[in-house]
Amino acid sequence: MTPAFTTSTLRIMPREMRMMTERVFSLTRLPKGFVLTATDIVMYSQKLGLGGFALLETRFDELKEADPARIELLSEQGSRLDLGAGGEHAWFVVPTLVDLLGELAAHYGSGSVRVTNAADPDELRVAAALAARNGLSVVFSGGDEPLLTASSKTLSGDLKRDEPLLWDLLQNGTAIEAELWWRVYHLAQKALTPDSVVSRRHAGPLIVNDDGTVIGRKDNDDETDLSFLTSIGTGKTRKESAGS
Amino acid sequence: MNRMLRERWDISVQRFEVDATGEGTVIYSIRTLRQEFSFIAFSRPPSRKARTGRIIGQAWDMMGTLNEGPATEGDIASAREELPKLYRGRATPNALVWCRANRSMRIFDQTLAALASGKQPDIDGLAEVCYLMRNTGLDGNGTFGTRSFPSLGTDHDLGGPLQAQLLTAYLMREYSCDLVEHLARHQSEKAVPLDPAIRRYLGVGNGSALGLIFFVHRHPKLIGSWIEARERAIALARGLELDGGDVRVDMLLQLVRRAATFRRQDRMVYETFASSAEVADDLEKVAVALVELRETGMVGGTRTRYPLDTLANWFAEELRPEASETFLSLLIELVPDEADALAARVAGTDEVNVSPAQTCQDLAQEIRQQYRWALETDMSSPEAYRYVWYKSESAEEPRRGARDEVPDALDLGLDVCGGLQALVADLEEQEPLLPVSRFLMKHPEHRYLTARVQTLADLVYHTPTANINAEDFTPIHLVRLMNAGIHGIDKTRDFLRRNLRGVLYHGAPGPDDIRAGREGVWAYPAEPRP
Repeated sequence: MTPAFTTSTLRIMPREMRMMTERVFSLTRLPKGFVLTATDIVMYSQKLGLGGFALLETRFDELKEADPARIELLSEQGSRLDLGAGGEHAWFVVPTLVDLLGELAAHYGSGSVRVTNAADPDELRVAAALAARNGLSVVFSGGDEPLLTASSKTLSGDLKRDEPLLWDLLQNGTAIEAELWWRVYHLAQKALTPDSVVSRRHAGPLIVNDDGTVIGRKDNDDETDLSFLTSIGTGKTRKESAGS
Repeated sequence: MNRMLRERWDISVQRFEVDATGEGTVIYSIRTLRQEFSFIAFSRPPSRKARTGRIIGQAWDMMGTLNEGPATEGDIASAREELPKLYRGRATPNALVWCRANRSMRIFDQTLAALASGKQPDIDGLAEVCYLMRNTGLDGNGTFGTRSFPSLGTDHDLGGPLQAQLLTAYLMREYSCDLVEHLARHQSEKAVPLDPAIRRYLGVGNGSALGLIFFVHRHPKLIGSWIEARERAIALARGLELDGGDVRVDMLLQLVRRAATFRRQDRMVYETFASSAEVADDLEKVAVALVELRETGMVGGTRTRYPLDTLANWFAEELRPEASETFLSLLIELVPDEADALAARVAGTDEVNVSPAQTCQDLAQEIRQQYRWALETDMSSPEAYRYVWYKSESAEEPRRGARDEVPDALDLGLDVCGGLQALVADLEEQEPLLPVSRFLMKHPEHRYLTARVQTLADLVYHTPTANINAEDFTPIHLVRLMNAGIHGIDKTRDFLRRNLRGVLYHGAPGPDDIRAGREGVWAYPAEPRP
């Protein structure tokens, strides 16, 4: 699964993919406690050749209104469940889906869940790969109402065997078209706070007050440029100059 | 460092092409028993403009990359092109760490002038700073496309946590000394190299701040594993049955005296922490007790089976925390093989997972047992959420400020206390035997803390017991946990309760010592007086 890189694609590693996904999701109405556990989903989608970051960009306006609490159980017969996604995107159904498959496997040894009314239902394939982390072997059957069937497997403690997709990602990253990646990067940057003179006082070993007085570090072994600390817009300048 | 010495790693300069202005390229080769690494550094003349030790700085005197394998011309060309772009740059697939450093302008220039005139630098001046250059960034583990550390594996010579970053810091230290000697030779035919004792005394500087608190919260398994390894090593030492005349007591006494001298010579001014003079006073009390143990086999006039444990309990009550913890750290030197074995097992993946079949009743009970401190924290006080943690879009600098000063900031901090209180309250509303999977379906906002609590259930030291949003939280307590406890940084001078400056590899062996396998105590170095 080692990707072929070209001049127009970049090798992106999990750390950056997770960070960008977390930031983009944090721009939606999704609760923070949910976002922090959903950061692998787009990365897995990308690695599996599904929608990945291109889909994240395409669907962003719809994702902003996401509310995973709309997902509900429609019916339950022993180890078989029907899950109503309520129109939520498949990515946000995945965590609940993996949980339910895990619960069924814990109680019955195996189980299945059918998902109805999920946006981009083919993206539920991500659940099959992600469930390996929970000690589940999952089979995906496609269509508009995909069926996922899980059975328990024993985790070895060896990431390479337990979660081969994550291992491959950690080894090789994944190839992403450069222009797409930088567009996602800029979208994710919106989750960060613009620089201001005030915000610059919230970090660093010294504070420059409005009247020019300095609080904090007294020694000056690096000759800090105080005018730089009290100016704004310089970060923007660097980002532009550091760009392509 | 122990491993480098034991295996006699070979660190050598392959290229040092730097002109008299300080512009140029430097290549180091690092040969281990099984692998070769290269350190490619680009030197630049210092710029006064946009200069700051903070991440938002835009002027650095050195940028470099630690790569797997020997440096190729392609690696060098790529690093030269990509390193200055930072977040828009792309590392080569064999890159482990990107780094940046600044000179300590005053001390670097003083040292350069002295060497160029054929003299050694003034020790008093050096001792005020203790480094020539200071690290302002060590980025790896996938940042900029560098290799993911978890993929290195235990067979890799830098496969352990933080090993790649720490080797890079060591190479920065060597580079700083080599650079000042090189520039001195450019200035004068009379130039002399640094006295080897002074070279060893000079470490590499380090400036750290709020970003480390994000690190602590995001890597609870790694932090827990690390602290547990330290505590186990200390417990082994406290359990030693020692009597008077035991050579290990004498060894410990020498270490304590060394630490006391180090503190006595420390010129840093600490704002939040105890002064080094006070710590030295306490360490001298430790030395007195150890002399008694050595001479009589007794502690405070009483014979005890586990004298070090008795002393540790006594010091915890009577001494300042800095002195008591110094004593505990030195105890580890009495069990070196066990300590190295424990350190080698330190590990912890980043992922946290939900255990979906656990009942709400059991989860609530677990939280009540393990996080009592968090549930009892008053989160209704106006002070409880006074501060917000966020990142600036300029270089992603982590910041902590009064919430009303940055009302639009997206809060990136981990609210353990408020989050767990809300989680328990909602769990108590459920049917007790309801599986967590069903609970999270209706309460997706609790997913992260649920997974975190469940994943960390068997660990002891994973989460700081603090409300980091509160007025009375002191950020540098956690910054110093990382810097002193895990990175091994000395002289952690604090500023504004949030920033630390310190020295890494203070007194560490040089490449010649490592190549020769010269072991021995190097921590807490005394000033190198002739």
